[in-house]
Amino acid sequence: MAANAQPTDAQPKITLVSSDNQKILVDRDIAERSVLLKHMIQDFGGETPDQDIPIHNVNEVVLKKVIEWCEHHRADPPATAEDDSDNRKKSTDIEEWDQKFMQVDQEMLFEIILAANYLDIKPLLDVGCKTVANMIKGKSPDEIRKTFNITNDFTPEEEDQIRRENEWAEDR
Amino acid sequence: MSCDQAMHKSPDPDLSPLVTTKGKPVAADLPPDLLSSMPVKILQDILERLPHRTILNVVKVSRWFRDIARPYVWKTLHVQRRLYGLLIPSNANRGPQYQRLVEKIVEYTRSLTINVPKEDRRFYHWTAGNLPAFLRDVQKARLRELCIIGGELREREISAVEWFLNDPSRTEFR
Repeated sequence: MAANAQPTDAQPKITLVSSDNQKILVDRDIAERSVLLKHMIQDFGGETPDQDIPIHNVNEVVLKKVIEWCEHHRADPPATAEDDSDNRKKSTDIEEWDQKFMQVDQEMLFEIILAANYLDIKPLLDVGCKTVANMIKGKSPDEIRKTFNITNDFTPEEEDQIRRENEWAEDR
Repeated sequence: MSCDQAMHKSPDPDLSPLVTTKGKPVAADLPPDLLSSMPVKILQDILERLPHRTILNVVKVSRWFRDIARPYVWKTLHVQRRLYGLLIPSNANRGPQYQRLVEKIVEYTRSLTINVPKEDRRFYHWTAGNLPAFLRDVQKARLRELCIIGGELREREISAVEWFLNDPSRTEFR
C-alpha cells in the first residue's frame, strides 16, 4: 500500500506556513494529498505557486506530523467512491505503520484528526477516527470516561432513564 | 473554527437542557476532555465504526454522548434476532413505549432482515404472523430493503408485504 518514496530535487516545492508562522518546504505531490491544498494550487492556474501558503489552523508540530504521514503514503492511489462505502466506514483495521504513527498522546491524536479534517485528507482522517474507535471499543461507560477524562453530567434520574430506554436492546 | 462551534449545538433540540452537572472530571492529571470537543461530523465518523454493544455504553457516558450516539443505537441494531422483541408490544396495548419504538424505527431503519435460524424456528410463524401489523406501523419508515430468510410466508403475510412494497421506492424483497 504505502511506499516510502523519497522526495527528489526535481519535484516542484511548495512552502507551507503553519499557524505559528513556521515555514515548511514540501514536495508538491505531498501537499496535494490534501484536497484543500490541491484546490488552492489549482486556483493558481495549476502552476506551482511561488508564494507561501498559510495553514491557519495547524501548528508546526502537527503540520510536520501530517506531512510525515503524507510522505509515507505519497504513492497511495487516490481515494475512490468505493472508499466511502459503508463497509469501509465500519472497519477499524489499521495497517501497522499507521498504528505506530498514531501512537501519540491524546492531544496530538486529536490535533492530527482536526488537521486532517481541515486539510481534507480523508485517509488520514479515517486512520484517526479508527484509532479513537479502537480506544472506545469494548469499554464500559466508566472506562470510556476515564480514558478521555469525560465528566458524567447525568443526574441519577437521567441515568435510570437511559438504562430503561436501552434495556430492550441490551444483549440478553 | 466558527463552523465547528456551530456544529456543536445539541443534535436534538427536544432533549432536556443542560441544567445540572454531577461530579467533576474523572482525573485532573489526564488531558482535558478533547473527545467531547470534536466536531459532530468527526464524532459521527467514529461512532459509525463502533459495534452496537459499545454504542449502548457510549450513550451512558454523558449527556453530550447520549445526544450524539442515540441514533446509532438504532442504526447498529441487529434487528434480525430481535424482531419478535419489537413485535411483542404491537400485540399488547400499543402503549407509549411501543410508540417510541416505532418512531425510532421510522426515523432510522433502512434495512430490515427477518432471519429465523433453526434454533428460533418456533418464533418464525409468530413473527411472520405479526408482519402485517408491523409493516402497517412502519409504512412511513425509510425502510428500503426487506429480507426474509428461513421460512415460507403464508398468503396474508405475502399480501401485507406486497402492499408495503407497493411504493415503488421500496424495491428490494428477497
